[in-house]
Amino acid sequence: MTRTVVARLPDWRDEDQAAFEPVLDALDLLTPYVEVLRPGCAAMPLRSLAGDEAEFCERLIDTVTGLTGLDCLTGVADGLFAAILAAGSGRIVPVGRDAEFLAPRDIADLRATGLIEPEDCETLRHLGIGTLGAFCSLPAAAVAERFGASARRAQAIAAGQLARPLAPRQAEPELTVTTEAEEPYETVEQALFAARPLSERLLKGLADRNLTCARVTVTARTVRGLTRSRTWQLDPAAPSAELARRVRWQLEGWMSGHVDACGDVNSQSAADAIAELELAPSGLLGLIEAGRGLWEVKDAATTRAEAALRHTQGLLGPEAVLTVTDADGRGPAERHGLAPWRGEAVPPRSGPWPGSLPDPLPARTGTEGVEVQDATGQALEVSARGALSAIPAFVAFGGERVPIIAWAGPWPLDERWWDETAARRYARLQVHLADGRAALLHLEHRRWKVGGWYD
Amino acid sequence: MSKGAVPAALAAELGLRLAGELAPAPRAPAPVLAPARHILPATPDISALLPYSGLSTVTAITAGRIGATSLLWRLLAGPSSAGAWCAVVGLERLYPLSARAAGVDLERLALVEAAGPRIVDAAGALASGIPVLAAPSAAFTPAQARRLAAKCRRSGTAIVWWETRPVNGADARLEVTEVRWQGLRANAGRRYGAGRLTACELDVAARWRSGLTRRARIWPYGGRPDNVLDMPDQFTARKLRRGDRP
Repeated sequence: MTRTVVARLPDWRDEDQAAFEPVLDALDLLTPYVEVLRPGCAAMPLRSLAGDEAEFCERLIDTVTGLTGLDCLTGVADGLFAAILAAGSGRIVPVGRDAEFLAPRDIADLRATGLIEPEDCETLRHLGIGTLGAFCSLPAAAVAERFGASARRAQAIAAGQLARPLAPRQAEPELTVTTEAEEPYETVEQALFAARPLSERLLKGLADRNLTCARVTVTARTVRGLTRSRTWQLDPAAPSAELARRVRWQLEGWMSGHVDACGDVNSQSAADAIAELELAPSGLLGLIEAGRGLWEVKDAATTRAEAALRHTQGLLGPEAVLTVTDADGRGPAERHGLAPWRGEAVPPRSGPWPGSLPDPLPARTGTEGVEVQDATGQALEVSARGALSAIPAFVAFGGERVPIIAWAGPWPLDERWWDETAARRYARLQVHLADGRAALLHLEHRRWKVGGWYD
Repeated sequence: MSKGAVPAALAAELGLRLAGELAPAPRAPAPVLAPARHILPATPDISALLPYSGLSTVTAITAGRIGATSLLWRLLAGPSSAGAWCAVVGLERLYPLSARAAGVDLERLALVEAAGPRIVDAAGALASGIPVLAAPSAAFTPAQARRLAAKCRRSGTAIVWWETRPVNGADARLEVTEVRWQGLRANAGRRYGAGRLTACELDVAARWRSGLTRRARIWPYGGRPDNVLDMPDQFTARKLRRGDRP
């Protein structure tokens, strides 16, 4: 017969789970089996034979108070629910007396089960059921009919009948591996020699926990105190194949890079030698999720293509392989976003953006300045009302003067007129030139330029 | 008797070999077979221009023609919508968002920014696995281009040469002979031009390695008019001549 201890820190104000971790680590010293109910409240089982319960609670309170300086309340009961309520007042409920302890409690305490809405508690009170004991004495079928199945479960819990086992917290595995150089690594070979066992240790740590990772951050600290770090993508199905290469490329990049940068190789590289190397995995996945064999999520061709893209990223740097996404905006330049492949996710395009050009969009970008002229060679302008000052006849650029055979527009845009710094006002014109080209032209600050070439 | 001697003596007596003495059996040499051609699907309008009706190892698009970028997008539309990754290396000043209107799945399009000799490195790395690779031919020496084509043939990658300099050995060479933009009007005498650019029509000529030529009319951004009287194709024209109702 196990008993349940709940430790509650009534003055805990932090909602952050991470801030509660040190307290849990301290509790781990007392018992290996801790369930976090919420930050500031934890439950652990206690064997009846483990000794005096009051003595255990004293030790627990001493430990937590010594660590955090905060007050700690404990409650001991057979069931978790009774123990939570007992912790509210720091009581020990004797063995087998849970129902007796719960019966006189206020009906509002039923909310601690997490199964009852506050409104239902109020309804029960209005029905004249003010205590848990009164609630438990209601016919079970009537409770289920009136309030639903979860209320019936709450009734069973309040009667001290239903007790669930505690779920222990998952310890965060410490997977980051570090090596400190006895003699700082001055050459790539020395660093690589140290990096090889380091990556083996990382992979072993992952494999021991049946995990694999999708990213690895390589960090090097130099003797001068500089920290360089870079995150690399790995194929989660086979991280070992690439990890060694990634680390080698990275170290070569760093160590040959600054030799190039400062002509004096000897003095500088000695001062910039690597004192510490660290490999930190992230994007942890279970081996089964990462495995392709069992649940075919990617076909072989995609896997090979992604390996080729990763290889290219390794060769040219992660920013060289880009994918295209939609971005917020109306003009061609702001409307598309380029993001490194497998990099951080770009926020999706929001809103409908009325006023942006419909498809097809220009296929080539252009920024060259042009002049749009009427038949007499006068430069064209667009009035505030969005009409041209004359009929467009020629586009002049780069010493050429090409007749316009068809055109459309202008379409004026007046963006963010309320914000002086971000305001933008321009007009767009589509022209089809006599030499077969078609272009999107922008008029901004009384100057025409190419917004893009249709090609 | 020492520890290792017992199994050795037993093995000698029974005429057995120890596991440590076993060597892997010689493997039969792989049968020498010509690798199957990797043909990637193309959109129906383009497939008529290509041998094997799809993208084979080397395809070339004559750069510098107006409308060539639209043709490139249309060529990549078939493989990318079939789920194959397409990589475009070292082509500058492309506006990739326009590819979507031509049917390219942008989630399967990777733009690789490289310049000068890095283009060759990047293309070599990509050729080991990416299904479709588009690269400018001017960045490669003829020997490098040949080597890349051989590598692609082994790995099943289709190269699309952006032919800024002629390359040898293209299975098909596509050239835009004429481009017509649809939707813009002359708007003579008006201060505000009606209409907008809605589509384009490309006349594409293909020359195969065998010397065969094909022609097709491609609408990369859709919008092909259904009015057969404006654009009679051969079949309906024949019908009209015969006096049948189309």
